[in-house]
Order: sequence, then C-alpha cells, then structure tokens
Amino acid sequence: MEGDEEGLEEEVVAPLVVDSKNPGKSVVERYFTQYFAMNEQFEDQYVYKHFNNLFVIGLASTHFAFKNGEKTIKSVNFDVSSRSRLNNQVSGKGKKGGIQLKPNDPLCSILLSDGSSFTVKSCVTGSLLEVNEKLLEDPSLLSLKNETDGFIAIIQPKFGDKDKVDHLSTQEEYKRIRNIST
Amino acid sequence: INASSYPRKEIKRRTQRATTTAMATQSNEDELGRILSEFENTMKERDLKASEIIQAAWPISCPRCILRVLNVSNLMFRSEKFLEALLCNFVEKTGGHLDRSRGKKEEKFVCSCCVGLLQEELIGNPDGSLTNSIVSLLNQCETQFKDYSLALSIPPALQIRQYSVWYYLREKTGQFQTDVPQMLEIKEVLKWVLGGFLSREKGLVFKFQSDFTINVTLKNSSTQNEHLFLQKMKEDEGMAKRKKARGKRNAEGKWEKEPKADEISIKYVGKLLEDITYEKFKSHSPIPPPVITEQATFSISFNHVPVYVAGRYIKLSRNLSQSPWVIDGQRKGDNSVEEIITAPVAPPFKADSTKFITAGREDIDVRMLGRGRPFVLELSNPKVISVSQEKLNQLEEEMNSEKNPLSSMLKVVDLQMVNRNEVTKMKEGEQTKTKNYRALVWISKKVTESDLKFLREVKDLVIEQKTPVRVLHRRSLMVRKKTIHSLDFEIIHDNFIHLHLHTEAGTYIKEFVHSDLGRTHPSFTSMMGCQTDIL
Repeated sequence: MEGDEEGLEEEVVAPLVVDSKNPGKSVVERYFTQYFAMNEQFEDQYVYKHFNNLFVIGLASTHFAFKNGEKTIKSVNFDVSSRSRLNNQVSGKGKKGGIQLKPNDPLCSILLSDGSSFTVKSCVTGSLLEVNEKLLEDPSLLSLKNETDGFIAIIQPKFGDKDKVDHLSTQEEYKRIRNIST
Repeated sequence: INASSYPRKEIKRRTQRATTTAMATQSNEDELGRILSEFENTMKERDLKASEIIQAAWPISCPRCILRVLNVSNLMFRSEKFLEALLCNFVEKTGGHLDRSRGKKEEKFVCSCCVGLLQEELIGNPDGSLTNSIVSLLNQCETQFKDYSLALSIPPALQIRQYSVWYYLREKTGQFQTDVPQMLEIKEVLKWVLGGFLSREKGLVFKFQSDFTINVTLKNSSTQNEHLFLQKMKEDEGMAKRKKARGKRNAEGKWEKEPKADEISIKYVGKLLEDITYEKFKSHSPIPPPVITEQATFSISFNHVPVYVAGRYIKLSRNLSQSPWVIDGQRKGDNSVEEIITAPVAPPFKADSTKFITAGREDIDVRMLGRGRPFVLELSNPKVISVSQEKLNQLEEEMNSEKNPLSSMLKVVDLQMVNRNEVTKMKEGEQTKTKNYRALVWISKKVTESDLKFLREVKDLVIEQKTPVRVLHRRSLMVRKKTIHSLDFEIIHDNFIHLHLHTEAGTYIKEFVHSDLGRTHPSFTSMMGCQTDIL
C-alpha cells in the first residue's frame, strides 16, 4: 500500500498521496467485473461477475424504478415461479440443491408505490445460491444501496459455463448507451 | 479367534528374545542327538501322535511348517537340512519312514503350506534370495536408523491353505478336533527367522515400534485366486455386501470412477474364515491344497517415519501467497511462502517428499508481522533424520540475510527440530487462539477522536458472517458466528485510521470492515453508519 512502512517496528507513515474522498476502487470495483442487461423499457440490471466466477445480480442505477424519485419501492416478493426463491437450500461445498435458473427466469417481483410491479430476471444460467432476504424487511435498501447491500441474488454459474457473458453488455457499452460520463 | 494358541504378549516376548539368540550354523552329530531327545520329550509331554502327523504332513509340507503344526518354536532357526534330518530320525525311531525326496526328482519341492515362504531358497542363511536382497539393499540404503521393525505382507491364500492342511491332517490322523487351525503363524515364524538373521549378520536391533520399517511384500502368483471362493461363498449365502464404487471429480470436473480393488483384503479373508466349518470349506476348496511348483516372489522397501522442522515466518510482502497458486492448471504468481521455506530447509534431509503445515494462514495481500506465524515442515521418509541446531541457525541466518533477495519478502525465525506431538499442539492452536490484526481503514466521513471513542468500549461483540462472496466458490454457504473481543484505533489523517482488532480465530476481517454487501452483520460499516473500506 502506498506510504506503508515495511518493517517490524510499528512506525506508520500517513498515506498522504491518497485522496481522502476517493480511496481508490470500491469493494465492487476491486473484486468484480461489471456487466449489464438493458432494454428499451429501462429494465436495467447489473450482473457483477466476481473473480471467482460467482454472479451477483441487482438493479442498476439507471433502472426505471429509480427514475427521478417519482415512485418508491414498496415491497419485494420472492414467491415467483413454481418454486419460491425463499425456499432455496444449498448444501455442501458444491452448493448442491439450488434452484436452476436460465437468463429469463424470474428472481423476484417488485411492487412500486403507484401499484405497478415488474419482474427482476436472472440474466445468467446457473444455480441460485442466495437471495437477499433483507429486502423483505427493508425494501429501501434497493433504492439507497442498489449496488451493494441492496443486491438481489447470488448465482453460481454452471460448471463449464463460467465465461458465458456474451449476451450482456460490458461496463463501457453500458455507459455509452446510457450516456453516463465516467 | 486367533489361529495361534499363544497370547499376543507371549508371541512378542518370543520374537524379542528370538531375534537376539545366536544361530547355530553348523550341526554335528552330537548336537543332532541332543536336540532329538529334547524334541522327543516335548512330543511326549504334549501327548501328540507326532510321528503320525509328521508322516502325513511330510509329502506336502516343509519341515518348518511341520514344526508349526506341532507348535514347536525354538527350532525355527535351524537350517532346513538339519530339520529334515531331525524329523527323519525321529520318525524312524518310532518305526516309520520318510521319503527324503518326497517323490519328486527334477523339480524343487515347494511347500504347499507356506508356498515356499519358510523354505531355504527364500530365507536360508546365507543363501536365501530374500535374506541376501535385504542385506544388499540395506547396505545401499543411506537412511540413518538405530533400530528397525519388520512389516510383512503375505498372500491371503496362505490363510486358506492353513485351513486346508489342518483339515487334511485331521482326516488322516484323527487328531485336531477344532475347525480353526491351532498352529504357529507364518508371519511370526518369518519374523523370528529374518530377525535373528539380521541381528546376527548386521547387528541390527529389532524394536516393535521403531521409526524405521523394512517392508517386505511376499507373493506367489500361482496362488492368487485361491481365496476368491470365499467371496463367492458369501454371495451364495446372500450375505455379501458389494460396496458401490465411489467416484471422484478429476481436474475437468468430470466424474471418474475409482478402480475396483482386485483383491479382497487379508483382514476380510480372516474374518470370513472365522465362521467357516469343515463341511463348508470342503465343498468349496480342495483338501489338501493344490501342489505348486513356483517359488514365492518378494519386494522390499524401506520407510522412515517423517521428521519435522518447525519455525515461525514473518511475511513482509503484500504479493506472496502462502502455497503455490494454481488456477485451471496455470500457475499464478512466481513464488510462495511454502516454496521459499522448503527450498533451503529440505535438501539436508534428502526426503522423498515434503508437506508445509501452518497454524492458520493469511491472504496473499496481507502481511504477517509480530512474532511470526508458526509453521512445520514435514519431511517424509528422510535419509538424514536429524540436523544440528547450529546448522539450522546457519540456514536461518542465510535466509534472512540481506544478500538473499527473498529476505525482503519473508523472514524465518526459531528454526528447530520438533517431534510429532508438538505438531498436533500447533494445529490445535489454529482453532482456539485469538488473533490480532491491524487494518488501514478508509471512512467516507471525516472522523475525530470523540467520534470513534465508542470503538474502544466494544467487548466480545458477536457478529454473524455469511460465507464471504470472495471465498463462496470453494466454501459451503453458511453463517459463522464470530466474536470481536476488542477494538482500538489511531487516526492517521482525516478519513484514515489504523484499526486494531482482537478477534476469535476464523473471523473474516476484510468482510467485517466493508460488510461484504451487507452479509456480515454487524460490521464496521454498520457501526460507523457510513461507507468504509479496508486498504
């Protein structure tokens, strides 16, 4: 780390070269490659691919649900499809028993303050490891911390399909299409 | 139920005693006569129709096997010739007769009872092939050892043949009422004979739990399948349990079946034989055992128990993994703590292989300071079993000196030889000890002493950590309850502090600081109420 003293004594040199407001990459930037799924209805989701190939799925900041603070997120419902995502049980190192998902399979449905709702899709092929149950008690996590604590699910890709992200957009493409300056 | 009628202790004592007894290499007439009368007295005391038994067993057994049937142990060192003469004289005195050539002219006689294991060709002194091989291999062996023990592996067919001979003799002489043979064990006799030989020829001391083992595996290819009928017998009775062949994942993630074992283990054979009756045996296996002409073959190997070198390492680098890092068959990173330590420490021992054991570990980008992390280098089958402390100190100095470019990444201290118990104690410490950490933490809002004072009041805070996403690909998904015993801090600059943590072993520190997407709770982030990160 910049500025750190190498040695066995406890002397410390302050890292003055590092910007106080921006310590460098955030946790997400450090460990994940960011991919995105978008469409014309602005149902934008992120797919964060960890270096160990696990996927974290969530709502991207450009999702229509966050548009201009018009509507707020009322609740999250994981009881979708034939098996409630809350009933997901995995066991062992191989994490067997997770619900098998394809890109178009639903993860949950989200209810907005104006009564409308939409579905969050899996976006990747794999087995479900975990859904973020905190969203049940505290849906505001989705609005406030959609990239971190408000994640929706963690998915383990099928063995051998680790690299299948061709159907998703890279971060550069996403920023370009959504007109986001860095 | 042991086939030998002697209790385990007695056998041990005999072996110990037997291996140090001097062997007579030459017999003369007087000696023969003396031993003969001793033998006769023993047979009278035992009230055995010894002569009948000997005559019945003679065509199929070597003299040592006959002595095994008669439970006479003290003559096993005598040469086969001597024993033949002894038995012939004994039988003739009682009016019987033994055909010395056993009816065979050209081929050498191979005992049906021990398949040649107890015969002169193999264990004779000085010309036995096995005894010669052991001696010459020992001469070449560089390993240092003070005493030795023998590990023998004999074909499972021998147990079958033992039963077969027993029943055959019962049929012929009417003696031996039990269904389970009561003769001296082949392994014991082999140990006595080999042990005595090694003691005399090489002055070696036999010890039951020695660090150095001579492994001898004996086989006779003509008898490979003789025990398989037992499996068939069990299946016929509907009692066999076939274990499903369990598979293992290989490097590509495909399931591979483990190859089925061709032989049933020797223990299993012994167990199956325990329940056998004469009638069952007779219907499945020949009595007497089939004649064989092939001699037994053998293989010899030596093994020394591992030795251990312990020490502590201090890791200064933030780019050094503990063990070699391989992903998908490709090596990442050009060095590791394991390799740096093994390279200079292992060669003096000339071991077959090494294993690097530590009391815990740290990530590649985390330093290990303070007294250092305890480690042990296990050296398997070493040729040099101990290295002096001076030499170890010298190695330590060389590893840490400035001339060594690696010393800026890793330092080693307290290098010493240790024994096995201390390795176990060290590993226990991994789970039970508490750990101290110092982390450089960034906080998104500027902080002062009074803002952070509450941290020092934290005592034994219990946190719940879901398996971090960082390691979730190779660990089970579960919640771990860990205790943060205490916290301390120093403010370095507006948004940076050094956070000191005293925690339970197994706590994920990085995830405690940045909360791992909220999956560690409570976390430093949640306690501060704003975004924080570890640098």
